[in-house]
Amino acid sequence: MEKIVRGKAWKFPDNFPTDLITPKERLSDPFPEMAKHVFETYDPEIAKGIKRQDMLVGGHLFGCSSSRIAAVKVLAFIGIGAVVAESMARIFYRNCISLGIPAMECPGIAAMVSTGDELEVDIGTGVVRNLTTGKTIETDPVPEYALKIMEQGGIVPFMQQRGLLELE
Amino acid sequence: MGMTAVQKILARASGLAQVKPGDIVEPEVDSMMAHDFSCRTTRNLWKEYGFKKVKNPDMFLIADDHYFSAPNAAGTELLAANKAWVSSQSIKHYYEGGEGVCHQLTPEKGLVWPGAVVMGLDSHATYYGAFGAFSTGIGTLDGAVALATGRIWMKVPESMRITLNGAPKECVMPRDVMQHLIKTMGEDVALYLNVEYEGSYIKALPMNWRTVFATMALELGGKSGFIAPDETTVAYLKGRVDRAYEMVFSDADVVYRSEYNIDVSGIGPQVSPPELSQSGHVSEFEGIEINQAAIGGCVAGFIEDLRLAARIMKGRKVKPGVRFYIMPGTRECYLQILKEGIAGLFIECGAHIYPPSCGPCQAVNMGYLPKGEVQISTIPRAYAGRGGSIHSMTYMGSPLTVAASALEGKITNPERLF
Repeated sequence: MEKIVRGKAWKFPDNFPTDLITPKERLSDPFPEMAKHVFETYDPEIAKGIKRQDMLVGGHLFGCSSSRIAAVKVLAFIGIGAVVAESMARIFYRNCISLGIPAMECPGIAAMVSTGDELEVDIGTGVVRNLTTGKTIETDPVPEYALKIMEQGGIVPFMQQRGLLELE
Repeated sequence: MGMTAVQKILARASGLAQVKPGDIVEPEVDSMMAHDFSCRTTRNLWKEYGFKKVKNPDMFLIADDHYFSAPNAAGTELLAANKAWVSSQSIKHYYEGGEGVCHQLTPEKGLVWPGAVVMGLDSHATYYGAFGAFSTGIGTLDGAVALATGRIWMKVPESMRITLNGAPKECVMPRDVMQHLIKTMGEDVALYLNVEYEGSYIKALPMNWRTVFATMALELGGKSGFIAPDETTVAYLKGRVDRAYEMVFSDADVVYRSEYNIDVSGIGPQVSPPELSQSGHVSEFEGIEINQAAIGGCVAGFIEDLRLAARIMKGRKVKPGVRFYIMPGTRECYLQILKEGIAGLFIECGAHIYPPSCGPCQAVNMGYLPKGEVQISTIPRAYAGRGGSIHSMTYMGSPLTVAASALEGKITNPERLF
């Protein structure tokens, strides 16, 4: 698994709730449709520009409020490269890991990234480089256990590969 | 250094002698719960990924509580599909609309005990820590994995401790004390932490009221809440839990991330706007006119709440024009208020009783708050657009403050009427 992710950053404010990633009215949408409207109630421009390997950079408690998994599944569908935030709501964080999306808490990140910056995130070492400004910051890397889950592509293949989960 | 109760529970469930905060472990899950909406998401994931059998179908409780009845075709389809999946998996504890709020039913039906690891497919699954269990919410994909394998990964949390001593006036309720804590400490004081509550105030509380603190550890930012089990816990569980259990306690030499010692005697009734950190003494909100009032949801609607509400409502009438909704938390509670004459009193006063359910919290079945209107409610989450129009306003308060406000037609200090 490539532990270094490179992509364009999309910056979000503190206490960004999952309801603004996917509102409850869209929860029954098929994912291609949901992806077309991602973040729409917050900023309709995002869905038009966001693409594979782009990264979300959040402030405090990114992904708070509802634990809806659709809000993270749509990010996986879009192919988001990583989510890095000052802090993350714990169920949102779990959902990212379980769906194989690299997620990292990085105090200080919000101040050094703006939307449009090119970022390089090393989830194995915890080093985040803003390639646009030249600034670098270091945080705790993704825990070993979570890395293993991501290496397998998410919690289902991870448990399957260990012989703990049988699927149809 | 010793271990906290939660560390011990996770160690035992993971087959380890010792765990420390930050370790990621894989505990066996003793029981799980979901509601109608998270059941819907889980069964869709179940089908999508090709999961086979729920490992412990007797230890998974599902309650239809957002819906107490399907008001339209889409609702019937959702509930029917839930029921079909539940049946195909031979799940024993499936409760259709009207039986009760999922969190209140789970211990009532015997799925919680001291030392248990309880995983919930709803964020307010912090509820069960009140019984000396380790309990938290997880997403539905993790939930499906836990259902299929009987295990889930969990990072061992550090703990903070809140010691509550003293006793407030009788009309000051656990909800008031909890809102005061959130206001004082902030909504992220407990980020990723387990919140232990103790002290003479906690010890004197009946089981139902202890759950308010465990559940709302979530609103302090917490991962879980925990109250050491004692004779009150044992008495509640008698006849409900038919297995042996071992009570688990934190060691005396544990170092907590932070500790708070609070005398609750001086705390008065509290009211909060949607941001709980902005909670304040009711006097800061008195006089605000209301259109709707509600007692119910996962942190209210207990028999103890409804008895107190009846005391303040006796001989009085709900202000004409105010819709006052009361949802007993479970069918057991509903039967009790009927027996005690409380239900009749509520109706005579002009309140409306709705089936045990989440009620107006997300206004799935009833209670939609229209544009421009104001309500005061006991629900724990009230951001604009959740239970009504994005241009409506929901304040939060204790069952007594809600009742007093319904009688006066405006936010009212229950001390005036008690």
